[in-house]
Amino acid sequence: MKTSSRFLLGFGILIIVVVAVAVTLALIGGNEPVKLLPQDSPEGTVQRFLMAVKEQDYAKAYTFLSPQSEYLKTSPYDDWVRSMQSMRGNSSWKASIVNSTVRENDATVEVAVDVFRPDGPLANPVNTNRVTFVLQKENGKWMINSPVDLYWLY
Amino acid sequence: MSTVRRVFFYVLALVTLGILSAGLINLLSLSFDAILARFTLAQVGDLRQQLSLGIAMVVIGGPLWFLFWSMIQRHAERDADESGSTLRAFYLNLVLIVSAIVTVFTLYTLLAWLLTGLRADQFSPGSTAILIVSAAVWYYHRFISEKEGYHSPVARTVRRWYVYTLSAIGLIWLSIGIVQIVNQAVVSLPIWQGEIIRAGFWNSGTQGSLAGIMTGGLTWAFFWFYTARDDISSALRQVYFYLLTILGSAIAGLTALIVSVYKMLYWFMGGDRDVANYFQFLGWSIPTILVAFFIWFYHLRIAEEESAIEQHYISARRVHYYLMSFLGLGTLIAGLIIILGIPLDSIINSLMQQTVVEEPGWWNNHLSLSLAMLAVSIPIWLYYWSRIIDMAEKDGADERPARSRRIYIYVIIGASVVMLAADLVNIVYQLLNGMLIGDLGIDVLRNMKWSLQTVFIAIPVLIYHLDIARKDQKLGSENLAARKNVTVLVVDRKSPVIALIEGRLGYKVRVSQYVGELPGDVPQLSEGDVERLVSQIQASAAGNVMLVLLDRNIMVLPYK
Repeated sequence: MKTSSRFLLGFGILIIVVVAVAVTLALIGGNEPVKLLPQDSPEGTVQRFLMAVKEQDYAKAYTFLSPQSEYLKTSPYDDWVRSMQSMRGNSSWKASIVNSTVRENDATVEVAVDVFRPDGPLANPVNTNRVTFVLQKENGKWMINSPVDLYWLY
Repeated sequence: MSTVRRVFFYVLALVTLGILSAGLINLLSLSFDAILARFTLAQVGDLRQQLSLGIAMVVIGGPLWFLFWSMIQRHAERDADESGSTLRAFYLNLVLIVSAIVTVFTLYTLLAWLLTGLRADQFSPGSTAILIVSAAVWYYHRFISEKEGYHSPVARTVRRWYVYTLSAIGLIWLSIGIVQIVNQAVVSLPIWQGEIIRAGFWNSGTQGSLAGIMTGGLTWAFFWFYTARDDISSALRQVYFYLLTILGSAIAGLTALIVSVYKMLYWFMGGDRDVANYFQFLGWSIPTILVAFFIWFYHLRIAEEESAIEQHYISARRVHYYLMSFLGLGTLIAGLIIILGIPLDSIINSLMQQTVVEEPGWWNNHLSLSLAMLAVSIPIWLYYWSRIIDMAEKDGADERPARSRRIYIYVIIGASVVMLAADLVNIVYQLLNGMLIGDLGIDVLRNMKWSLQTVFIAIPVLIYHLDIARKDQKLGSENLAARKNVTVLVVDRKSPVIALIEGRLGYKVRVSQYVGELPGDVPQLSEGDVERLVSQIQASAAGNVMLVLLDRNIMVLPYK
């Protein structure tokens, strides 16, 4: 067998192995539920906020937002819900905590949001956005101060 | 006529033609308005203004255009050089292409209006006026062009651009119209869930699509089947075949197929089960696949039939194989890069990253898209690449030095090198940056994930094609005889000896036709004679060679 044909065969076998591994990981590992973080932590607050947004339960998501937020001082609840609905798209996404800094009364949680949005044959279909949530403690509960809109998500 | 004087006349003819046409459009539009009694007393002022402007443009532009154009025509009728001039050819075909495009678009508007049932409130007087005037301008200039013929190479080339541009516009419009109307029919079916109001099938969208089919179909039929019917040997026709119709339809069809397979796989893996009317995409994807396949198949057959007549069947087939192989390989590479992201992301997730929100089946999207691309591309690439390997093994002496093959291989090698370079720059940058800021953590891996995916695929692609290029070089693919600029002076442009010479040289020659009295008997050349002539051409010292085939005293004249 010629060298180039052997190379092609070897590459073909490698492709089959990669596809098999990917299928296994996607179908088995991809369906495990995520672990819920403690509710009284900044990370847990951000997680529950994003989960509520994902489920389009905007009333629940609103409960995680601080009334002291500059945006919410000028825009009532209805406007906020309308803006979230107008930005709703069909892309699938997932969020991961990259970093968090917690102090006594305030915290920052940096989240990487991966949005799956195919855009051309050789373009990366996953767009990653970094969002830093700023939280403050109000009446013993962590509340999100900013950002309260997720325009980058869609 | 001198060139400066010629430019003067044609520019003024064009400008005054524009003024005359605009004035006629103005007056016709007013007439239609009057017929429809659209204006009220309040618009009388506007009517007079518009009427005055229209009359002024016609009264001034008309005689001026007539003056300049009749002077141009008198020169053209007296002087063969004038009727065959480049500027005249350019002028006539420019007017033809602009007036034809305007006619086609306004015809579409008129047909769409006719399909509404002749509703007076939707009639466009301006558009109809433009249609009439542009059609008249087109018809008149076409009559002039056809009467004179296309004797110079420039005239023929410019005309080809006009013919194939309109043919392409017609074909694309026809195809889009067919896909749209089928899609509208599918969407209108009473099978979709969740509808509280359903619009009827016969609406403005459907009427527009039908008008598009008629307009596109008429345009394509006229320019392809009638105007371009005898133009078999031109290079532009080959570009039209292979780049626009064959490659273009293959890209459209394969894209629709990939989208269909992706969405079906995603649904089977459990994605978007709660999205109402998920399968409505089949309304556009299936007709796109079918229309694209028909266009691809039809033009491929025509190209192969014509190339057999013109005795360059093998090179035409070769171009087709390499184009399709390139398309398949590109899609295959894209699918592999995406699927490699799944295990890489798993590794990143397992290394300290904390996923807090993930929809079930997040990976199914990646998997569906990559599997769809692989499922479509692998059979295509394997089929065409194996044909290419066969061709190289059976007829390596002709196949390996072929330009299509060398372009294919070097484009892939070049693209792989560029991709590798960009990826390696990013990888090294991320590593160095991480080291310098003292943070070689998971973020570094995350930031270079896409580069790692493309590197892992680009390297084997590069190695494989470098190996093929190396083998071709060893077998003499780069030892080409230097190309000469060869001009052949013959009695008959269509002499079969020209194809023989081009076949032996491996490239096209320029042909000039002798118009004087023949000095002697036209030579009948055998294959041996042609072989000797080609050797003389290749051995000549200069880059330009004139080959004179007017009598038995055949001359091979190198010149600078």
